[in-house]
Amino acid sequence: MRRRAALAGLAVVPVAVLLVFFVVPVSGMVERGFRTDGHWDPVGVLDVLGRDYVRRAIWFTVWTSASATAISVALGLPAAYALYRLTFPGGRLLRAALLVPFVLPTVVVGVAFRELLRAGGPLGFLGLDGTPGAILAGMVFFNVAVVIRAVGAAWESLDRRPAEAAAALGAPPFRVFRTVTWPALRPAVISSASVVFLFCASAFGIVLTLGGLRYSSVETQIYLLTTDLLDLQGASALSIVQLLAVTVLLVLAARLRRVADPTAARSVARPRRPLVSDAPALAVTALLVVLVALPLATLLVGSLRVDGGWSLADYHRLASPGADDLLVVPVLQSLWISLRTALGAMALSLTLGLSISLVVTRRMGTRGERRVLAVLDGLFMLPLGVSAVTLGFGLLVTLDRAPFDFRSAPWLVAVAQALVALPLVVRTLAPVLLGIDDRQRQAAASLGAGPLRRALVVDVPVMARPLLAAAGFAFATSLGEFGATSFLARPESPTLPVVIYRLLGRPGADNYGTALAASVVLAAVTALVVLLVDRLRVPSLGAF
Amino acid sequence: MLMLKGVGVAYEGRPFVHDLDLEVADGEVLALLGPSGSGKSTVLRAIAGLEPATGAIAWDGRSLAGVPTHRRGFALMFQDGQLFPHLTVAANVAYPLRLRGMGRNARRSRVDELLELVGLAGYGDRLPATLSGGQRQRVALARALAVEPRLLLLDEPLSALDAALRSRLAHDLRAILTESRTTAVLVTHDQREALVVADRFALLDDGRLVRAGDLAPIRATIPDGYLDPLPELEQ
Repeated sequence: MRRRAALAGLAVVPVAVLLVFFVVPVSGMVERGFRTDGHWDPVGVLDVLGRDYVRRAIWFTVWTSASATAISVALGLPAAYALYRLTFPGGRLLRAALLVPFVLPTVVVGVAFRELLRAGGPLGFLGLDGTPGAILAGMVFFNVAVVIRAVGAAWESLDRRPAEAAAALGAPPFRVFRTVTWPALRPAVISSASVVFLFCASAFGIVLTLGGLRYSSVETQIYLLTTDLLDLQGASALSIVQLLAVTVLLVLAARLRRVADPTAARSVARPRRPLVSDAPALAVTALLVVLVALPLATLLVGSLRVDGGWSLADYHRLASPGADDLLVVPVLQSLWISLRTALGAMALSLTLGLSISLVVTRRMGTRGERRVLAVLDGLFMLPLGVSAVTLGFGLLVTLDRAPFDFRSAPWLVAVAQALVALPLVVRTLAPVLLGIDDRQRQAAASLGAGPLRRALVVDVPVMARPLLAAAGFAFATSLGEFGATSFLARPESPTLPVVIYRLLGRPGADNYGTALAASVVLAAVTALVVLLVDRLRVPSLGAF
Repeated sequence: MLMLKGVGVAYEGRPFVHDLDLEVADGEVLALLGPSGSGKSTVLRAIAGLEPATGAIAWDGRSLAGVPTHRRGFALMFQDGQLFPHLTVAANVAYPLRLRGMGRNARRSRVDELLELVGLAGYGDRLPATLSGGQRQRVALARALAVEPRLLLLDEPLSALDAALRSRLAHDLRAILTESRTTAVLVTHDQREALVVADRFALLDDGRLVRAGDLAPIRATIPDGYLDPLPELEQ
């Protein structure tokens, strides 16, 4: 009984925060979809769904997300094998480097791909600029790390002996893969694929910067409907569709994760030196590295080129507020705002994430209790797939009444970012907590250690590094968050991604050049954080 | 006939097995004895082609260098069986038969024969997780025998089992190997098990061969009943 009370105490703060800052705003958005002019109108939602552009947006979202997921898996599988089962010089660095795109701000990725694909750019001859192909490339760039991390962690901890047993029974390599390795990897592959699909389907910054007005997904359509067309009913109808799809996907992903959590019990196989037969996997990995490096290198070069010569002029402009009053603050100051906000978001998501992880990983006696925990676990995963735009706009429209009139509170941006980062924190910490053998706590208890002492002796040493890693991950994610922030950031204190987006919307080589330079700075900061964090070698980091 | 000449295995530059000479005649069972860490399992894995080795490993005078594991025609049975958990007992045993493209009916009757041979007739539809440790090892043995291997490599096949079961299965193993006239190398640290199952022994210590010889003369000096199965404990 006391244990249950303690757990409830631990859960109450995160649940309250989630209710006020997530459930209320999102359901507020949903409710608006069912009302026209103040009365109840559920049919209106169906009307919206019948509209031509809405159907187009849904279809566009489905096919681009499905294709981007398929490509991510196709490229990610060989890379996961090469980076986690083989050992070669520079392998560890590559592993860390390939995680960088995942936390890069979507706006930065958008800018980099535009620079790469525009007419006259390094890959301009492909003619992909402004086509769905560019959006697909951006999505894959962004998400392939998820597949590599999740499948790599599973593959690394895969016992080598069943495969050896199959080979010793006469199975040739491909047969071994098909009959032994693949069945063991399948849960990790399907689970990461569903997460990637989720990320692609709710991708905002990439579609907005690369698709422009010609192509819009459900997410950008929600944005356009709310901000440009002021069609709240249409926007919330789309939010409802998205929410339903996300819930179904999350339930599926949770099911699959439960089948085999690759990170819980690990027996890391010793990686071996590459053989000739590993050449295809290594080639795909090399291709992937080029694909990831190319847009970033182009971005860097672009920021240093002015009027056909090399110059730091774009960087000098970062310190000034801009010629045409477009920016209220200099870019550098918005970087400070971003860093401060991200620090706050990090602290909040870490506190919430840790208490949630502690609650959902406790071993519970009764079925009912376990079911409550499962529901809680799923609830905190929701921000993973719910449109950040819906969240941002929902916060704006619902938090307008006392005592919840927080719309102009400067910390609201940090709260929204914390919610977006929360699932990543929980997914990093929970597997580690699950991996701690409860018998160690029992052994400590039997030696006379009280609850606090037990936590200090058993949990804290194991958790220290994952906590640090989750902190860095949350910080980097918050730094680049764009969807919710674009609604909530006040004009006089915009974060860096918001400033970059504003700059992009303005004509003129100077504005574009400043956007490139600002993107480089933002990318460098997030990349640095992630590279440092990856040195902590936490296996669940970035794996879902 | 298996022949090892001057075989060495090294891990990351550190030699683990040194200059080993061994021979196993057709139909013979050789026990590789030695304390843990003496390199006996490593030798077995080198024979199977799972560890890169220096020196010569040859079958019937033909070198096995460059022949991958799955083309050697040997079968390796692990300490914990390594049954495929997602396949039924019958599907596990049928795995090598499918690899050879054996037809469905022939396969089914061969699986039944093999399960009969290891004393598990009627267990075909069970999943490995529902079997006891001893039953799992029997299935693993049946699966290895399904290969009709030129050479059966047994890596501590009985070590994970309790003493009574181990001694009884050792006698069964001997009977099965004799009946199927299988050439085998048995890695074990249990001398009693070696005395029951094998014809000859080779004793390894610290990666070197210290002694080798026939087991029959040793068996002759052992008092009656010493090698009989131990009584099973009441459950």
